[in-house]
Amino acid sequence: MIYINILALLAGFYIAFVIGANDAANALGTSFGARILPYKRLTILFGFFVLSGTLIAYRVGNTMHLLTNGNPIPPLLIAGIIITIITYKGLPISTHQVIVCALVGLNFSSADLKLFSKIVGSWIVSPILSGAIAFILYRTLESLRIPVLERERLLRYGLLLSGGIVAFNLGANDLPTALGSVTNNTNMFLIGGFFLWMGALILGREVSKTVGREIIELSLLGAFVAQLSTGIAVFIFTNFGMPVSTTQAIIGGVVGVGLTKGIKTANWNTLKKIMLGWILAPACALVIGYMLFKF
Amino acid sequence: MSIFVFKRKPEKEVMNLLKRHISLSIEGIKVFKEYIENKNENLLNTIIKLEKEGDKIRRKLIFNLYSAFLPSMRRELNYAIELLDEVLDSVRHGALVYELMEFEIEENIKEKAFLILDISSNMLINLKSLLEVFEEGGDFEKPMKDIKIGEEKIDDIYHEIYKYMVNIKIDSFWKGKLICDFIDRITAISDYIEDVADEFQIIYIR
Repeated sequence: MIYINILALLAGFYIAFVIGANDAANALGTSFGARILPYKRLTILFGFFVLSGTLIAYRVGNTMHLLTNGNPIPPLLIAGIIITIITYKGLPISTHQVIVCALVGLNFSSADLKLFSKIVGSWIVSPILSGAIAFILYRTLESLRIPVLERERLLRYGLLLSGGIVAFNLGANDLPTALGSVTNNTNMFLIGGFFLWMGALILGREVSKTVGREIIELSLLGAFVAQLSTGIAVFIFTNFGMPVSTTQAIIGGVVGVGLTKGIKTANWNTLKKIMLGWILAPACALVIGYMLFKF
Repeated sequence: MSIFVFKRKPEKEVMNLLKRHISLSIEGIKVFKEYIENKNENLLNTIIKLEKEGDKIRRKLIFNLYSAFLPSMRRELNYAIELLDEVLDSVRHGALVYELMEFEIEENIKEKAFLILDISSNMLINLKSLLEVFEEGGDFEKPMKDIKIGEEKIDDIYHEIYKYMVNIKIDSFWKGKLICDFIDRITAISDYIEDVADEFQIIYIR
């Protein structure tokens, strides 16, 4: 039994490492792109916020623990493989959904489907909430007509703060989604947070560079608002113990900012493709998991 | 009032240097006008000195810029600094061309040249107001609109001068060329000011 738990933990830590490599850009991309601090210094700040987030990771961890009480190893291994493919291919698919759906599919008989439906509801609401916050926040900031120099300072410090909140959520929400089915121990979450941090430090730089370069070409204020809204929206769900995706929320935030300039500014075809991915990826994970469970 | 307790020094320094450069340009135009009235070598030397001082400020600005603003603003600011330096360059070139004009310029052309320089000077004052909006907030549209109106007025005057010039008798090729160069130089000043304002507008909108 102890070997099974160790194997499950290792799979969870691997997923944490990959989340760090992949999702660190959600927190660091803007600050790195704006060259506010060098990448290594940014990761120190990132690590601090991630580890702080792990201190309340038990909330989402508890939900994940209640979701199923079956064997967590197969779903974590499947999720690990899928997440590696997602990261390699650079697809905008939520790792959260894959983990949760693989877990439910493989332990269908013991899964709490009522709780699962609540989680699915959170996935729908979280990007909408993030978008709404971004829309209101961006409109408010625009109406304040902040002088250029003030705006410059706001962005310099604000990007670090919003990135910090997103990093906090990675420790408080993303991490327990990967580890919550195995353990709900804060010390384990702290170790997982360390792996997540290492993922960002060792492999996160290139993703952050790409994201940062793209953001620099866009409005920095818009990027800041989208990131801050994501941080706030995910934090709200974290407090309710709901595992929601930062990637989904950030897309909601970007759309929210875009909608302040009119509905035509959003690229609906791209959005449709992203949303299709959000439906298909968890559906596939759920069906494959269920089929494996049946056999 | 600032929403931040601590103001960052590098950005403030860049703003102050930009304002200093604009003040030098205003001073340059004033001395240039005096030089057109009274062809005194000391005045020409003052213009050359002002241009050199402007060039020093430009170099300092470019150097300071990279420790100040976020990269998203640097491209436009860098370009604006280069364009602003062209204002003093045009003043100096205009004065040097005028030095070569050993004949008396037509009174009508002279009057219009003064008018162009006065409008350009006002445009520079409005450019300074744009920088104040950057620092303290306020109405960006009004000074921006005034700069555009100033540029349009100068364009009209430029065409009026050329309409007038095509009907005057020119004794030699060099006389005609020098008058044309002189007019082109002083009208170029407002073009550069408008271009600087356009760069500021991009920063403001972003």
